[in-house]
Amino acid sequence: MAKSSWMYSCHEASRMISDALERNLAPTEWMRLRMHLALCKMCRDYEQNIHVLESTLNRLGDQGTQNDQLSDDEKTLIRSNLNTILKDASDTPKP
Amino acid sequence: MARDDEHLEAWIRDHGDYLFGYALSRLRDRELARDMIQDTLLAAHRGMKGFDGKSSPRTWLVSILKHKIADHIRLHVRTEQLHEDVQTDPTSDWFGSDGKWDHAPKAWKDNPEALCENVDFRKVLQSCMGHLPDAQREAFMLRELDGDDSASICKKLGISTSNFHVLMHRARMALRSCLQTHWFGGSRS
Repeated sequence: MAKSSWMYSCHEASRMISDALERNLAPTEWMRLRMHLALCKMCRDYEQNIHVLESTLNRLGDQGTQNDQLSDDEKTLIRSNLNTILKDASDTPKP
Repeated sequence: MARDDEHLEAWIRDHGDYLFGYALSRLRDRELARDMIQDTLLAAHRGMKGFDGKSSPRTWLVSILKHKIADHIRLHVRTEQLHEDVQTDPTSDWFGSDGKWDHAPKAWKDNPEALCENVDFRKVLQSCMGHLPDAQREAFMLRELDGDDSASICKKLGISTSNFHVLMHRARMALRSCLQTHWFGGSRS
């Protein structure tokens, strides 16, 4: 077996590092990834970054969303739009 | 507002800002986010009977909003974005033609607990997520921040499991690089 075809490239390894968080890797995929990581410090560091990112985001939960607020004008607009829509609906005679 | 619409006013007062923050972080467009809140409140008002009172009103409103946002992404985001593997792979940008890193990643020293507490980090993170393409951002945030399972995300966005894996990989690659540049230091990668 040619070494180049069996060994993952860093690019392929990065995909597997992500996939490993989403699905169970096939035994051969898992072995090829561990083999690559054993030999490649750059991808070990990439995996470390991704795991830090992963647990930070999971821990963050809904604090990861924006704190932006609706302005008073925007709230007024929503109120008046809803009023119009609901009024139109109630004015329409039921069949 | 008329008496039977009092709950609408209460929802706007108690949950309006929260819903808006949620929608804006997914859609990055103030007017669109406002429209989504309006549609959500309307749907909630019309579906009051369907609200069993088992969950909090906020949880119920957010679940309606999530469907509205996913519908919007599915219907309006260009299909190429949702079915990305036909395109050129953007993650190639980080690698040479031999598949090796152009700029070697470096281990990050900060720990997740400290990062979560850091307001400045959260701002950088939000800005980096804001730069992801719409479909990637929505899939990624549903998965990582909302903790939704992949089957429900695929169903909501109308994509295959393998497409979802591609979106997640691309989002992680882009986000890691953005954080490396803007937070963890160095202009590298």
